[in-house]
Amino acid sequence: MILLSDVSKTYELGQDRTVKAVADVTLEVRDGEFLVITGRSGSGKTTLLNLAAGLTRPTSGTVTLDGVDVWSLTDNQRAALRGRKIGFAFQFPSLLPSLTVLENVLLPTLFAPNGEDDGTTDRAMELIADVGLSEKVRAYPRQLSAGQQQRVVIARALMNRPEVLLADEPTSDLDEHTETEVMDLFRAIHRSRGITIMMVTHSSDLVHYGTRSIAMASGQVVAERDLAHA
Amino acid sequence: MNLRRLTLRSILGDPFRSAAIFVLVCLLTGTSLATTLVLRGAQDSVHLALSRLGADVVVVPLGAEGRVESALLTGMPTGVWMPREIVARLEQVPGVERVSPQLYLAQLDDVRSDSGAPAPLVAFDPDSDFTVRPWLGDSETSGTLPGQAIVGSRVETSSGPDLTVLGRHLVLSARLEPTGAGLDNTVFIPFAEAEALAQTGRLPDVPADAVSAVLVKVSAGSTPEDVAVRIMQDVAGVVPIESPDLFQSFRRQLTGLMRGMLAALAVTWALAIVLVGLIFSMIVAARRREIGVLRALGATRAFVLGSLLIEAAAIGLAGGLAGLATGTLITYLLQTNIGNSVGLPFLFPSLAQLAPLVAAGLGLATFAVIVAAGVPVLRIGRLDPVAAMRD
Repeated sequence: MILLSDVSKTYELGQDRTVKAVADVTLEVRDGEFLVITGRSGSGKTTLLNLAAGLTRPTSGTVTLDGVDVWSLTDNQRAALRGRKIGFAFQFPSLLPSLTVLENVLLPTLFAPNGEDDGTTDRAMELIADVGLSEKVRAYPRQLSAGQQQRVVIARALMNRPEVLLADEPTSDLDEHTETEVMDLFRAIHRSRGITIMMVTHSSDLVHYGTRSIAMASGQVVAERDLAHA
Repeated sequence: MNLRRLTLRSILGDPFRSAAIFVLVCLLTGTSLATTLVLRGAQDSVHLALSRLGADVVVVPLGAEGRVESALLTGMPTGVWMPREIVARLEQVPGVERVSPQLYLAQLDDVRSDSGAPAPLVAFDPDSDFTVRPWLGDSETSGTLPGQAIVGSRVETSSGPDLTVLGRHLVLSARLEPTGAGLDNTVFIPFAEAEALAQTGRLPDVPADAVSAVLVKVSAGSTPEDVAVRIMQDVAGVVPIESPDLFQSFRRQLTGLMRGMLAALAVTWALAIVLVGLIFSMIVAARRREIGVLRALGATRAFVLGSLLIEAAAIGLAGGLAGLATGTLITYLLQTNIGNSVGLPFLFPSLAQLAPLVAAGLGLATFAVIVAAGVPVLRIGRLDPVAAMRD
């Protein structure tokens, strides 16, 4: 479970100018839920996701993951926590261009406590098959379409068997058809693996994929909907 | 997936910038090693020439000091002589154990060294000689009779066992070991053969009973300095040069060259470090988002710093290896031309001498690239993952 308590994040813009991207937000992300965060550009949704992931330090408030205060850990402990418990799908193309599909999917094992073992490659191959790219194992990212790249990113995010999958606008660069394919993949992962998903999107059309949604504006949560029982 | 593969893929993934650093390091280490080899080779050959010269004092005609030094080192004829009876007078000087005259006769158009330069012709006295025949190894009795010649290691003798010198057929009786000095290009004949050549009229400029220099060995209990002073007092018209003072002009030339080259190399290395730093800044900037992703996926700060520095070290090591190999090869292949163009004898170093230079060159190349990459790498390493991922 991820718990953000009275969390704020203020960015210094220089010359005494600041901007409060997230303002006093308290949010509980329960195990197994698919939380969709919506809002306009600049509403603070990506910053909230980064705070939940321990990628950026809150100006005030606390972030806990399974009861552990993320910012009470050392940098190395926090990195290990991310590698072990969190999978990421970013808005931008985040595959390493010099690595093949298989190598990109294997990448998180480089930072995992147990590293790569005999079964690691088999697992990576299974995940690549799960996202429908078995024939692209040896391809490089430049040889893939945007939708295929995002599928590889999802496979990579699942490599270390994370408890939480954080996705920041994972379909923003995709056409409508590919967007549906990728969102169906997220839904399938959520249902088959019971993994917690926290997804940011500016498209309200995608809200129905989640079990809960929140809307953000000016750094604050302004609306919340329970979709599981809707 | 492992760190080694990730590093290799990162290097190959940015081929232009990696190649730029590789070529830069390659050129720098190659040039540095070649320069060091040339200067050290010249220095060693002067030391070797001194140590194998065997003479404590060299007596030359007044005013001919520089020319005789040149003759000893490069085999060039002096064109300056003194009467041979000087030899007997020098034998009488207290503290002198042995004396042996030499006559620097001519440069031979019909005998050449492997560089194509005319071979100097030098007459020596086999009975008193203690400077030439030690280079013969086991065949020390060769080259003592009229009609015989001894040649340096680099004299071309493709026509067989005979040698034609100024139209006279001589028997090639022995070849000297390599010295790195002028001896290597020289044809030595006994005085008796020089007289025979003179009688043919082919050495018109050389007066009868003349010598160019007399090599002096000091007896035990005397010092070269004392003997030199006594020679100046007892024998008029000559200049005694103590062996340690020989080749002073070459040494000064070498020292000046070394200082100049050292300064130039230091400046070049400093500039190269700045340039490699700039290229690595570009590499890090281009991969900034990638580094942020690695951090998000669980890479520690130390892992990111380490992988980037290993990448820098690997390029530096590869560039250094290629540069050192190329520098060594080019210096080896062009050693004759280098010696001729620099105007100094050049002795290519042995493997034992070369190994520490190569090791030092590799260490320097790797260290320099790591230092150059250190600043941009440390800067990116300090950023949190979100800041690194932000454009």
